[in-house]
Amino acid sequence: MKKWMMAFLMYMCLLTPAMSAPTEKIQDLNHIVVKVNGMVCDVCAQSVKKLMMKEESVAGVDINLDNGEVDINLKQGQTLTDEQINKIIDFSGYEVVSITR
Amino acid sequence: MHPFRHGLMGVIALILALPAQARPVSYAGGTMLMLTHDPDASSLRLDYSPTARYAVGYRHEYFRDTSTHMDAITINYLAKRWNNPASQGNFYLLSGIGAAYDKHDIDPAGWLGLSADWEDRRYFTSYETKAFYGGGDQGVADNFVEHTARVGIAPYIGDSGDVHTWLMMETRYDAGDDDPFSVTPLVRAFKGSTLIEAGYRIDDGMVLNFTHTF
Repeated sequence: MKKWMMAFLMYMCLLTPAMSAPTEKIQDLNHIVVKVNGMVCDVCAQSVKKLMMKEESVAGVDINLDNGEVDINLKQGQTLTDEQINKIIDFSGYEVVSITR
Repeated sequence: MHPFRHGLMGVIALILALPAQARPVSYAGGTMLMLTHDPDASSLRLDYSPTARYAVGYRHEYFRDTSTHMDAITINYLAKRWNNPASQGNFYLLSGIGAAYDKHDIDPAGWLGLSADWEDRRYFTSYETKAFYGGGDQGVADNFVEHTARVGIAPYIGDSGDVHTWLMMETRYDAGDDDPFSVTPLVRAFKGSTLIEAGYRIDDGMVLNFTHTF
């Protein structure tokens, strides 16, 4: 019986960190980072921003010209697909490198 | 050549340098308003880009020396864009068709051109060439070919939303002109979608340009 109790406790000890792990990796589903090629001036950035802000689901857009990234904040419960993002960047005249959610 | 025609050719040459001041195509749905003023002429230009590949527009120019006007419909096409991680290059085809006129005469006018530019966040360079048709020897304006080049440097690197400043030098060459070379040092500043340029055409006078993209 002792052996079974020890085995159960060891099992629980091993399991506890695994169970808590998902809570540490909660994703911010309202935040998307898009890496864009060709966006080297603020006029370029403004065109991307204007077209992004026309989307119903977009709450705000921040652009970092240093690393060519577009940070998109979505409205609560809204989505923006990769296809939509690719289309907006293409309409702006630039090129999507990666989309990180 | 008649002095009047010679002067008119010169001022029309100047307006053809305008696309070097701002990209001839903007984003899909974008409208660009440009106002320019230099020692010879003032202009208003309005371009609309249905897609990021081409723009259609209207241009009006008034030449003070000769009290001459020109109206034209323009079509500009982005033939190729190089979107790189830290730079951008473009190759455009330019065209315009319209009329040059004064109180007495009116003639068809038009042009075809090529434009290329490259920039990163520190350096800028562009080149443009245009062949202009203004009716030939019997027209209000003569035919000519013009070349315009610019180089620029940003004294500091601003981020999105900052005021961005460029120091630029523009040279223009028109073999048919009495003074074929002209040089214009200028300062470009822009914030958001508004761009202003101020410069001095050496031995000539002030140059002021304003561009806003809606």
